[in-house]
Amino acid sequence: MIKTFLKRLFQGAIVLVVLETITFFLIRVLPGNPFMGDRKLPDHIMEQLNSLYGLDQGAWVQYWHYWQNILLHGDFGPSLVHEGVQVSSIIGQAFPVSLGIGVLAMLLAILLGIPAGMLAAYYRNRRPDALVMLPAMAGICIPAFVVAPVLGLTLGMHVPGLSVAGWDSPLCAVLPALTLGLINAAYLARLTRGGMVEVLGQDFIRTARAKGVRPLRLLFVHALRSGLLPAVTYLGPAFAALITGSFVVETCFQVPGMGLHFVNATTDRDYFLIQGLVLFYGILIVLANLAVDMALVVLNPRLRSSDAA
Amino acid sequence: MTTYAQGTSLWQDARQRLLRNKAAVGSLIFLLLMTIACFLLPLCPFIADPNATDLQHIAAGCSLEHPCGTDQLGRDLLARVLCGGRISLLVGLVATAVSLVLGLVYGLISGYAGGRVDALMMRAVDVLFALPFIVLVIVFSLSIEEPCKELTATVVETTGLARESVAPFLSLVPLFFAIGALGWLTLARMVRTQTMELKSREFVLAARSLGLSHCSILFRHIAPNLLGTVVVYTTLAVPGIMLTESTLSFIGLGVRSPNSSWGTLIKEGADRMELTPQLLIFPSLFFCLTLLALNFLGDGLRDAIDPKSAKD
Amino acid sequence: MLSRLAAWCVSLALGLVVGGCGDSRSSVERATEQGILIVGNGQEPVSLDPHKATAVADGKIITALLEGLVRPDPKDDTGVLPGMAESWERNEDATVWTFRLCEARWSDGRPVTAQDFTYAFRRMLHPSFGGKYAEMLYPLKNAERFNKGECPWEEVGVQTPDAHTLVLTMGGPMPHLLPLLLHFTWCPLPAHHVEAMGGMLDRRSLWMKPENWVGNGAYVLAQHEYNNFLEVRANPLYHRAAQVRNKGVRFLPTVNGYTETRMFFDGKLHITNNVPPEMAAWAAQKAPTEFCNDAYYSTVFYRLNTARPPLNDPRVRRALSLALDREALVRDVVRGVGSPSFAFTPPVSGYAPVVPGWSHGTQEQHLAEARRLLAEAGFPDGRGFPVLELMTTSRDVQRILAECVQAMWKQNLGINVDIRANEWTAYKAAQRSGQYDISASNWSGDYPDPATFVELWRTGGGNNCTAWGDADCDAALSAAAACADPDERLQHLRRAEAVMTEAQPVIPLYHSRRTYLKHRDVSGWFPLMLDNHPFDAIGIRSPHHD
Repeated sequence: MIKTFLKRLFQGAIVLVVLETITFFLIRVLPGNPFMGDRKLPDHIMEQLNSLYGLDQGAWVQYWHYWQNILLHGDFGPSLVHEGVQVSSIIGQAFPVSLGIGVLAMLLAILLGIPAGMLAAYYRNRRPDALVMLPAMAGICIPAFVVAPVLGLTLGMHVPGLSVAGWDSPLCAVLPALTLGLINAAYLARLTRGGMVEVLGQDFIRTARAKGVRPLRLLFVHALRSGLLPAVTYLGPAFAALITGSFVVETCFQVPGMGLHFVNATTDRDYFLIQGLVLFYGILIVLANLAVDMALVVLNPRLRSSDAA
Repeated sequence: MTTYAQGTSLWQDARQRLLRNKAAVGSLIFLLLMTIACFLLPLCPFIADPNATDLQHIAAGCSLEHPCGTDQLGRDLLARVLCGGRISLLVGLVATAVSLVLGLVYGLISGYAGGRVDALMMRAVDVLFALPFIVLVIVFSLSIEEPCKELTATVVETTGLARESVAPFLSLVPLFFAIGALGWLTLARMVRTQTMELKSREFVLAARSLGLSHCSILFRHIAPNLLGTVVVYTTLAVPGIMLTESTLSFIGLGVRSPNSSWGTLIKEGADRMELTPQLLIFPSLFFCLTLLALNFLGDGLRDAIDPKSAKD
Repeated sequence: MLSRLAAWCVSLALGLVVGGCGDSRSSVERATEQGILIVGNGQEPVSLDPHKATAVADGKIITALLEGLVRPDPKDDTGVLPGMAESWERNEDATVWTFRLCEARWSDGRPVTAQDFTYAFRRMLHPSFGGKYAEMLYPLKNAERFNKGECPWEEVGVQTPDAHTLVLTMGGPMPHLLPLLLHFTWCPLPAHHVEAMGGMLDRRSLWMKPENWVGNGAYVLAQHEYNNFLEVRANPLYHRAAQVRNKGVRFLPTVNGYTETRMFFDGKLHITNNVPPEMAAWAAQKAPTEFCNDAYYSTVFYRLNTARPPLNDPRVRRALSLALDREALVRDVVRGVGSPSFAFTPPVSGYAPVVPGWSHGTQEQHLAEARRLLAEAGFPDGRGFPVLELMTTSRDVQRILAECVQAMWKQNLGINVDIRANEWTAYKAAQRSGQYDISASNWSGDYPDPATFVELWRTGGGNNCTAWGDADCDAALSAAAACADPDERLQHLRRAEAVMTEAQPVIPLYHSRRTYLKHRDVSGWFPLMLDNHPFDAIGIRSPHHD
């Protein structure tokens, strides 16, 4: 297990290098540059800026410097648009916000979605199934840019303590987390139901049921392990995405999280910031998928055989 | 749809089981009606031109002339929703199919091969997962812009169709590529996990010991068992893909103004929900009902074709 | 970061427990009590260093933090009040201006001297610093040459005979200099402090961070949480500290106008940045006394790429312009948040709109003339007219406007255009490199003078982007720049604009207006064309103190 783990970490490092390399060259293909501004800068000022930040050097030289700064100095570079701000401090300010909202949302999604999916699978094609799955389908179909303002205008406007948007009290995290939590709960419910239906149709469950195993025991002890496979596989990347913020939800609720930066850095061509964000997100994805694969082996020992290979 | 041959009797069984499922049959009829409505109704004379503006009647309520009211430029909302449906249904169908095939094949191979091949393929998925989507899309839309214009010109020339009727659909081509290129990642991971689980099952071991080729084990014995996952994934992916289309049309990829899709209509409606709620409600209604029907149909299909339920 | 997270979690838990039963007042009520004004600022500031800032949002904050030679008049943005300079005089042709500085101190107690101004100007213009808005200082003699590295600093027209006298020598007559000096690019910097924080040319210097801030304005920088808020507090050492009518200002980076408007009604803001056009009527009805609709020194127009046929034909450009019913566009699409116009430069005192002769007449006459011109150019009823691409940004209002224009051209001239929505930087890049047919644009003035609009159309100018140029226009612009008499100067500018509008390389649509919401407790806020409000003049009346 430990050997596999270390091996995966090593692979993860390679993933990150490949990821950063692709990103590095991709963003330099985008039209425009970080110094576009509202007004066009005179060419000589543009040249001054480019040479200040080393953007006038060859792409490979820049690439080499980028890695050098990270590996030797732990320096992810400055933001090219918000000058004087370091990429690491931007991430450091925004990540706790997104992490808080993301964890809350994830808890809500798991506590709501997985039991709902199990219930629906157990009462498959009967009334409780419909009762659970109809709202779940609604949650999947209705996009965040509708859910967020609706929650804001209903709960935010009228419940004391909650607000339409803004980030000036800890309670401001409630509605963004609720929006993301409900949507992800819907996904989880759908995936759990699918996985459980599959498992409940298998022979060993039929046998257990024929033997008179109680429904709860049947669900939780016998079926859950395999039934959760799709949901857990989804959870990994979803978790990484949630704690790095959502652009739509952060715009709708005026939340200073990471999601805004992913989009703004791209439209502003803030090269170092994009690379920093991608690297950060990449680390989370690699770790999340690693955790998922480990969890899957624990859930279902059959998966272990190939793991050793 | 996965194809596998187990004699015709299974298909007959499946069809019978499907027809017995009221929800599935109802959904199928609904989807057919919706498709017909979206593709044929706008051609009828009693449906207004979806792009004809009427500044005298802006954001009007429901009336006989405009059953769903009008939008912020006085255009008939019903006509816009129907025409938007054409684009959304097309995107949903094609882009989902692309990502379905890619994800299924990739996940199957990765999970079945295991070892180094699996590690390599899954790490590639990790890279694609973490790549910034908007960057990819912008680069992509720029590189494909010229070829797409040429394609439109060629199609107009060879078929003699009016440019306005062809252009909205051809402008979707880059979108299919963009979504297809990245939409399959989650499915690939799910399929891979399940393939890994399935390949250690008895029936696969038996098939292997009988000396069947890998290809036939994969596609004849393992793939059918993934049907449930595929169906579930599809019902999750289609709304996502249709909505992604709306975000992408805001950066110049996907449907071009003044044409609409359900996604762009819902987005526009959401911004004005306190002022003109009908602009949000009607497109959302069409969108949600269609996806709900798709969901029921998917579940029905899955129940009907499931090899395990054949034993019932 | 972990400690921040832990603190956040604890406070969240506490907040959930205490919940609404603690302080049930809205943010605005609490802020009013403390004398803090909460203002929607439209976006996150790019930088607070006046030599790196360019955005409008930056300017508003910097104006609160630093004071130049003159300060804005809260009631009239063409007028100026004495700022750091208590008096000034000019020579006859307005080429040499002498400013006498008042006794003022930086927020760390050091006196503000004339050398702080020269230090700031030198830093902005220094060829190896890359000051982003350096062009604003080009009226100074030899400033452009120094900025390009063609002459030493000593040749630039800035002299300091003593610590309280600043003499500015201009490259030409500048009778309209004073309103220009309101721009944040003319602010002084605390030379001693910038030197201590890394030196003049240190681009990574952190002197403008809240913990390091030293300024001479009505406020000092107190707190900045990225993408969340930026707060300034009254500066006790400000030379007019007694006249400052509030205790501080909190700027919120409210990007989304819809969210911002909802936040106002939820008691989160005193003054918003923007009510989207479609919400305007609704907001005006919901809050008639709080809704504001002010003229703004800005024009919405469509650039035409005159390098590409058929847009190289002035008849085609004129036909496209005449075929648009501006009244309907403004009334129904922009919902009255603008004034329809054929002129490019918005009216400002002494400068009436310049409209081309062919734009007089009714809409019917316009249409007939447009069809005639198009037929004359070889496209009767739009036949044979190529499909042009209309490039917009992805902003909602822009897109709807483009859809309406598209429909009008099709209806009135029988021509088709495609709309292409680009994300912002790609849009800018395409526009500046001439990779477009028609580009939806807007332009806002930096200072209340028509030159900030008309100068755009100089041949090969950086923001021209239409490939159009005319020797007569350039000559008139140069004549204006060399003219010491204010009225005659405006006449030259009018002539330049007349040449431009006649050729119609751009289709002006309307002069913008700003719609926003202002809380009823706010006083001393007057409609200003440049939206350059001195925050120290704005009071907040707390209902409890009446």
